[in-house]
Amino acid sequence: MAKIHIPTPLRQYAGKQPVVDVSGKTVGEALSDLVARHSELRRHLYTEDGKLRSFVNVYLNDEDVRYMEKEATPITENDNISIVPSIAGGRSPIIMRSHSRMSPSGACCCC
Amino acid sequence: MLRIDRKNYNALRQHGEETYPHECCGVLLGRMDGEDRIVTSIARAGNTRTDSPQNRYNIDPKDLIRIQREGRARGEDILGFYHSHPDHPAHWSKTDLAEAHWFSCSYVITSVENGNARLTNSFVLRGNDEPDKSFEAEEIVVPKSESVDGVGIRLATRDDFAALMPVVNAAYEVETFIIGPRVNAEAVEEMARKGDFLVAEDANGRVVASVYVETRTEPAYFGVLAVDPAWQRKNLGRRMIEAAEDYARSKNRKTMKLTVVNLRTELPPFYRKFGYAETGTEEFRNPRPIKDGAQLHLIVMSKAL
Repeated sequence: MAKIHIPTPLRQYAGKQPVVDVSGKTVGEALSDLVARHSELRRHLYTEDGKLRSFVNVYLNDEDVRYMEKEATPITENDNISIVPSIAGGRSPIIMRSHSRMSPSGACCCC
Repeated sequence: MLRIDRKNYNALRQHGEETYPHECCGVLLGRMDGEDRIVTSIARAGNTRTDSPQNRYNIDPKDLIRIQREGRARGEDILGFYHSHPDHPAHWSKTDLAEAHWFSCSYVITSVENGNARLTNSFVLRGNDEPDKSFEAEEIVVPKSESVDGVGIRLATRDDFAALMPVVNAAYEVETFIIGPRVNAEAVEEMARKGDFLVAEDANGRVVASVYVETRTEPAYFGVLAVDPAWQRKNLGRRMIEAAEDYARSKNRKTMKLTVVNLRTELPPFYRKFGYAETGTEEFRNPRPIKDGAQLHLIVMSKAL
């Protein structure tokens, strides 16, 4: 069976295990198996409309599945899937400027 | 509480100095001890935000997987992450909170002003889910003077003066350009009026190192660093310097100054390793007689605490 490595913050929802054996032929099936066995994990991994949360990165061995076939990426018995929440930050708040606002004379007001 | 040894604490602060004016980032590894996080190693990571590295950081998950795997082989877990804020307070920002997803992990932030690491603070990500997450300030404990070889460092009392004098004089015998012992009872008394001595004692209570520190005004000053020749090359000098710096910080001093005699050419490189830079010179004003022909002056070195 393939293995899914659970990051520290989510282990409490996976029976405190760091690794869970799962069955499935694709990454998507493996993740479904995981949340079937540990239902508390579902809301931490998926949004309400069933999509993987944007800050949840899924790696098949050492490759990000976003650059492969995402959840359709096929897996084999010896594969290691890792769930890695993003680690990011920075020292100032995100400032969103709307470039669609134009002053009457047509010049962009934020530059 | 986050416990981290001095070597790793200094290393994560120094990382921020090296990447200044960009943010640095890295991983804290170790183990949990009840509610406390014990850091046993740190791993530097690359900042993938090459588009905005002066105010953003991102650790490549691929780096993290490798770091995690290597940590696991040493029996270590990921306890948290560290990054720096160039010219900005050591406090989490809205971006830091928005981008934090490792619940129960520590996020350590160091402010780096003009290339010098200033404060380091830690925050634990609390909550169970995105809507209710928050950062809670966490105490960082860096053990003072780890008892390696059973040596402990403490503030000296008057009873220690007689014991520290021979240690100082033996260590300064190498200054053959000055005639006579480095200190006598009168010199020690005069120094004790303006500052304090810290001493290191071995498991038998014997004084094996000492350093003099002035902390009452800015800048703080340390001098007369001496390690018993039998105890040299064991990093005791480093520990005395760190103890002097910690003591000065505890008195709210922001800068530490030291002076070395120009003829001790091996000393400026030694102190540079501790982050000191040459900032000027001073006249050598000392009552002790100088060997004929010796031209002495003092080199001043400083460091932000």
